[in-house]
Amino acid sequence: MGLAVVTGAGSGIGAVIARHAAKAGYRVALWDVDEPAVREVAAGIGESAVARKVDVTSEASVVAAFEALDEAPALVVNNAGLVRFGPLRTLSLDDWEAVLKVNLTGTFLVSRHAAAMMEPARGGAIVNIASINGIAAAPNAGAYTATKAAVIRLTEQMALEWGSAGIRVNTVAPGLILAGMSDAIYADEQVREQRQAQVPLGRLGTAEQVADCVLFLGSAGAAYITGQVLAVDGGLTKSALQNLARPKTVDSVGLW
Amino acid sequence: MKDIVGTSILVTGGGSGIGAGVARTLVERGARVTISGRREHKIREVAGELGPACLAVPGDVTLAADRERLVEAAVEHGGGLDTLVNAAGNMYRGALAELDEQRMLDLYHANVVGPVRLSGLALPALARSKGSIIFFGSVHTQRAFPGASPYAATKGALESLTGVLASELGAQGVRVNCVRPGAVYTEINERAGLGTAEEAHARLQGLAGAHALGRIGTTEEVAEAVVYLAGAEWVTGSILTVDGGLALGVTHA
Repeated sequence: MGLAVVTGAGSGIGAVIARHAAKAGYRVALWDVDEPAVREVAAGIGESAVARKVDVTSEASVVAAFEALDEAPALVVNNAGLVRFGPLRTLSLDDWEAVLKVNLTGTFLVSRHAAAMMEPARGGAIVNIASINGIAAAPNAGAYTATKAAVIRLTEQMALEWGSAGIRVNTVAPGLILAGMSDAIYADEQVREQRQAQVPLGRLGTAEQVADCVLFLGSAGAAYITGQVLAVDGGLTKSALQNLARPKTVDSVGLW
Repeated sequence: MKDIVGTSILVTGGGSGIGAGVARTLVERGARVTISGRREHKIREVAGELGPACLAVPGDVTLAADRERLVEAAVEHGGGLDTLVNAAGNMYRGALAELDEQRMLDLYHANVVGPVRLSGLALPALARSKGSIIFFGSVHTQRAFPGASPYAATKGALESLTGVLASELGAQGVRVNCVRPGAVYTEINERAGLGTAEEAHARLQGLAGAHALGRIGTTEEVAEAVVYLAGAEWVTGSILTVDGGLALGVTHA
């Protein structure tokens, strides 16, 4: 299976992707800015995992991390992400730029140095973690939606530029996931219930379901898939209007 | 992921092309597969090759009686129904001024109305298994191929209704997704008036350079997407494009 690199692997969805990749037979390099956290996750995986402190917004940090690998990665997962909530009118420029740097610049830097290693190795797969907010906007999401939309288009650009080198690039757009940066949101029982009622399948998603998709897109089974975004969202992005309040007399079975 | 081993899967259009490729891959992965098609000798040939896990049921998805027989046979063969793969489809091409009304309607019947009606019939069985429906879109919805307007329109219809049905059936636990293949050589390309098998194949191969990955696809590669979607328990309303990067970008150089 070779080597898999997972950024933002110190917690949340990234940690689960790293565990799943190890279970699928990859050796895993776990990268995160939070060194103690990522060491703990790697220790939990065991011998097939190595942890490293990496700041994806620093090209020097990214280059050093790739140079430390003992082989070209077969799979690189750009999972590191940041969200700073707030209305656009009052969002600080610092918050705006911090989110752009991690979500967009970080994905760009890690991907291009991954591609540089993958090309002489005759290919590999890059999987970016975007969000359904890259497909549709959400109130208070600040720069987050713009960066995730940018990652989706960047995925196409990289797929087009690197396809001839045998490098595939795809994106997973997770929906409402009960893990990682969303934990704080779902700690509120009422918010959790309201949100899960909006999902056509009637429940929140799990980090494991995101990891399954990542591993599929990285696998030989996805050899002909490149430049794509796949929503793992229980149908939410296609159903934004389905739970709008409407008079009961209009339609008794809940259809439009 | 839901394991597809031992699950019951109905594949329409299983006698040739992508449908046959999907059936082959699903049987290899341990599913119990029922295939249907209008040409009895074709589906018998595929089922003969795949062995007892695969049942051939002759039938046309545009005929109500055939649809009922199909669902019943699949439920009996597989002990229920977990996944419906609507791979049956036809193609009709022509220049705008020469399009034939009846042939356009026939195409819509075969590509859209038939699969949708079949899905409705299969719904009770799919609701029992918390199963899923898979439709096939096409790269024709993403990039224009002059002369293909009737076909592109039917595939656009399927891609649109995927999201609606996902939203509509979610409460019953039934998922609905769509696989969007690019250039995959099958006999549908011959039927589309692209010439003999050799001419049609050469014409498709001519598209290789337009793909980010530099080649046309295989039915097996499309089948892998079906396997993923059949088991992906929180993926619904999604379109999974399997096109080697054919529809990326506006220029390739």
